[in-house]
Amino acid sequence: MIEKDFANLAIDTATRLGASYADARVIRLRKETIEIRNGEVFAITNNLEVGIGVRVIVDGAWGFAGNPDLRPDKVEIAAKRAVEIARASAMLSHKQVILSPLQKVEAVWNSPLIIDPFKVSLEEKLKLLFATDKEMRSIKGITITESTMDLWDEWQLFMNTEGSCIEQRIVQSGAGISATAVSPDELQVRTFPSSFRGDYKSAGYEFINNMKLVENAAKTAEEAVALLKAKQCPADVKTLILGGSQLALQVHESCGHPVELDRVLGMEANYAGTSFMTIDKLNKLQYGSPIVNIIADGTCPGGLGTFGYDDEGVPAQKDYIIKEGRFVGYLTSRETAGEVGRTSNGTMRAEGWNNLPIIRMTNINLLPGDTDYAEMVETTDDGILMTNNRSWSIDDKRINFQFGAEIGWEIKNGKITGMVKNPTYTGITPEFWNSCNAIANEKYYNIWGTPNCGKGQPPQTARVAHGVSYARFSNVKVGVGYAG
Amino acid sequence: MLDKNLAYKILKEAIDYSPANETEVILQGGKDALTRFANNHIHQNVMQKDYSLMVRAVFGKRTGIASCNIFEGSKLRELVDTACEIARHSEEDHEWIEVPSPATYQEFPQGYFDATIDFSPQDREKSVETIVKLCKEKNLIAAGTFSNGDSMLSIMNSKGLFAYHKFTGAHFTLTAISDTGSGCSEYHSKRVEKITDKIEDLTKIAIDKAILNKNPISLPPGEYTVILEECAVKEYIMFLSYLGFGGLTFNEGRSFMSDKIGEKLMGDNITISDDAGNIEVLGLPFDFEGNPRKKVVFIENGIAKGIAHDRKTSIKAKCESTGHGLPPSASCGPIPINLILNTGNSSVEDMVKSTKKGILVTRFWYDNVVDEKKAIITGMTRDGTFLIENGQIVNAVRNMRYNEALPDLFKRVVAIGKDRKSFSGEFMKIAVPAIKVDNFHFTGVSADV
Repeated sequence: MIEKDFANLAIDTATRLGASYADARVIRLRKETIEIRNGEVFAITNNLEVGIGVRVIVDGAWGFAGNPDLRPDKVEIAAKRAVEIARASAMLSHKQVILSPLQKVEAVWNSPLIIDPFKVSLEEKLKLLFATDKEMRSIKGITITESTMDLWDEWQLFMNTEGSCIEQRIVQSGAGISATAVSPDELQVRTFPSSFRGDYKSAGYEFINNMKLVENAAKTAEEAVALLKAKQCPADVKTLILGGSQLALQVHESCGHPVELDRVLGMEANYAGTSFMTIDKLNKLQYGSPIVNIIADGTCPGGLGTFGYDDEGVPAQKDYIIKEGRFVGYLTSRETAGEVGRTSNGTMRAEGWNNLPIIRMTNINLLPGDTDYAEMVETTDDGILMTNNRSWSIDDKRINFQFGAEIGWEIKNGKITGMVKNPTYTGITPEFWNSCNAIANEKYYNIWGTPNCGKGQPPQTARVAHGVSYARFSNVKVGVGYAG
Repeated sequence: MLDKNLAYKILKEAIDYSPANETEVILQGGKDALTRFANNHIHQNVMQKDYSLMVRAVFGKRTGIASCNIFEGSKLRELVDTACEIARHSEEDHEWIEVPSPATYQEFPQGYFDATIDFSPQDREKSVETIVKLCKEKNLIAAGTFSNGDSMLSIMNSKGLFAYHKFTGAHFTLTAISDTGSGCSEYHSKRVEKITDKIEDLTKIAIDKAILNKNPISLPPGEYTVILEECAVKEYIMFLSYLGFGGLTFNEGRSFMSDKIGEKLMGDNITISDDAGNIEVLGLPFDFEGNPRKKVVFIENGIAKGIAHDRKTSIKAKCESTGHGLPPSASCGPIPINLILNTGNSSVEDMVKSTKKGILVTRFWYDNVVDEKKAIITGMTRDGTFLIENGQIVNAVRNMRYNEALPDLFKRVVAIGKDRKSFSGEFMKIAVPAIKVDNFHFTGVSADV
């Protein structure tokens, strides 16, 4: 039997046992991780995961079960379990699940790539990482160096009782470097190009070849050492310029999560929390200043949240979330979209075969503005520039946040005057975005991969992304956490 | 459940087939079922079953790791081949230490209960029905989870070491929600009946909190005396473990404990230890390297005493492994995962009564590290934060943000509860009492939008 036969068997079994709807996802996921630490191989791992996940509606309620064993009897067991579980759900279900309409889809979709990262030799990958590691370790004062590479190749077959049959292969690649300087009293880290193991794209090894890891290694390490002696970020109210992965995470936490319609509807209330962006505020709330435009775009090339079809078989889409500062859209699923009178905009994704799809961010992008970055700095009297993220926290309605960055740059009278360490800032989400008075243009725009977005019970990790350039905010409280 | 005999057979086949100089094989997995409810009905309901086999092959000092969730017949041999292939093409790890010799392990209390794994979707539904009924009677909305499952870990290496352990787990979490606030409750046990027998009492804890948590007022940020309930305290012990108690962070000078063994870092009344054999935080008798788990005291009466080590970090620290090794791919190094904070002689009620002005915190949310070396943490309060005046709770307060350096915080503990609660997360098991802390730093307040 081939994968389609197993998926069909699961669907047929579920239907025969009473399911009014069923879908099956067969997944084959390969992951390679390489980690060099202080000039030594810390770990090289190669992981392969295979399995089938079966999701059903019986008596108007959901059930889900999976099995790693692709043999007919085991696939039937998964389908039977899913039906049994759905029947139990139906005993305490106050309304029937209704799926928003969807045309059946028969398609094959592959993420674009030039160089298959799994066909690049281990020697070549190690050569690159050892070279970056050596550059970092050449800087006096560096205590710890890490160079990492993460590669994914996920093949998925989706089939459902509505006749859809979709094959997708998504290849994602990423790498990063980190240098740590330690003194008896403190520790400073600099990373490139982004914190938490680097940057990632839906792309092949060509992305890693173009990252310029070696070229940036020494500078990254020098900054880590310099931070130990840098001035402490002042505790004050200042203009704040955010860029890079820090602005990406700001979008992620304060816009991406609160527009997930499942959490708005209370489905995540026990764990991840709810949202201040309630349905009564749709099309009314002035979330940000008129220059703020944020889209959910599952279609943009290279994004870690880019795909052909979501895990309900809905085509990837591009939708406004915030338009000219106004809150206009949610991330939705086939079950939830009807609550706001819409159809699904294709954001249901699951981690692997063993998890239920839930609403996830795709690529949540802050669209570029019309300001040049240099002009943004030149027109700032008293501010701090922060880029790579170090710390993040936000409340359960996504209102009060606090972030910290690896490095800050003080700006006085339009000029960057020096480095500050331990930069942090805090704010209230809509106040903060309404204070946004400049967004840098397309020249500085990059889609940053966020490979570790956690949500759900049981917990699931999703790979998502955020396109950003630079943005400037006024009257922001900076330097919290170190004031005593 | 994959039993000891079958685990031995699978691991032995991998070891026998491997041409590597040294081979280490780890088999782990199990079954988990989880019923999730929100808005007073079940909205997600899943059963997951999976096992993973990890092979580490070593040629000289070159190592390679491969893992897979299918490992029957030729698949197992392919997995070993992949690990060997990686090792052959890798560079030398000059810090590699040969795999450990066979060991004997302590007899731990029973951790596997058939009733827990036999608990069906229908059984979970019945419990959830009770929870929802009780919440509805008080005009509250229930959201939460009821889950049960089993897990096993088995290790074998080419020196003849073999270890196997299995255990069950049942978990209940609840958030009861009103128009103006919420309350929470959770309970974890290896025996499902420990939850079902008192499901009404456990539900009532969340209900009472939600009812009390109404019409919150805003308090200005500043220093307050706080009473932290057990669920809040456990977060701090978890972060102390990640940031300070592990051998890698310690050796690299990243820990607040680095170079400070023997120094007074916390108050006289604070003792923190790791003890996998303690029934309150019962864990495994061996670590992922197959070394026996040892009890380690990290802080004793405020003084820095010990660190958790695996083979690699113990050699650098010139001591023996304490049996805290994690899987070979874990880049964080050894971490203690069965943590206990000592008890005192107080209670939450006593602490409230003895407080002229302060804040009672039910739990925290989204705690995260601001400064690794100083162990500064930030986070928000959640599901019940209350103003105390003259020994009584007088009002609910809006959620507040704090920033605290944990070693400093544990110098300002003025009362400790006499009872502990046990928490079981995805990774760690932690047992803690409630504590009362002076001069706690609240730095922000949430808002209505």
